[in-house]
Amino acid sequence: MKIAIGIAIAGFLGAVARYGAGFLFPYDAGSTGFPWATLFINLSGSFLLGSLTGWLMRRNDLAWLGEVFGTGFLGSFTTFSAFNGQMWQLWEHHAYAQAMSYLLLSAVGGWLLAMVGLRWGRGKPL
Amino acid sequence: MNTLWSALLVGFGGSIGTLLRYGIGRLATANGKPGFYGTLFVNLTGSLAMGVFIGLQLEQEHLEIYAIAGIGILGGFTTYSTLNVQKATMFAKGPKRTLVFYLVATYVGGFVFTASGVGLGYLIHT
Repeated sequence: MKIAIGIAIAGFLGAVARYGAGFLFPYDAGSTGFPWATLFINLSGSFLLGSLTGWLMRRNDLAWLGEVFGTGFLGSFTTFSAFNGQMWQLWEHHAYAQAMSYLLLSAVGGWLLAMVGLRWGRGKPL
Repeated sequence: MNTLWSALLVGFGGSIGTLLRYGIGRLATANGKPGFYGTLFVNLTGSLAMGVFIGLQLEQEHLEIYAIAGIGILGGFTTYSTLNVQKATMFAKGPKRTLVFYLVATYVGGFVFTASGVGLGYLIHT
């Protein structure tokens, strides 16, 4: 029960942080603007979750931190539904180059950042 | 709608979405399914729902509902950080076929689900 309350609070904060980050990079869904805010959120969140997961491999006593900060906060902070919504909107506006760049930056960039984070968290050189 | 009120709505929805994602993840692993099943399920169903919201013009016509359900619940329900850490972990160890299946199911599936959702939403809206 305690873990569920922690996850609910972390999920609240993660969503608000995502909403707030949207103001840093204004994005108009009605145009072909590039979704920088979501890209920044998803890339930084992937690096942080990689680092946390790597670090927790050395700290078996802190599994709750992985659930609350990892699954709760970072899981809520990052988003796949908005990513696909934006992919659709770019596609609909025939902004194929932007859609492909967005897909590659999110999918490959986030993957690499998660790998770097995992290594760093485990105490290995970057 | 002022910014503080929208942030509260987003956070409230984020709590609900995050708890649902956590519950589904627990349910998947409790039934002996690999960890990525839960993530794939929330990301695909969340992308379908996001498509429906786009088709319904929710962001343009019902901003408060969109703040709770679109930015809050769906943003908290779906996740990108866990996806990228899973990709990195599966790449380091585990069968490559599973990784390829996961990538195709996530990215192709996510886009197709969103596009189908948009169509469905348009039909309901008009």
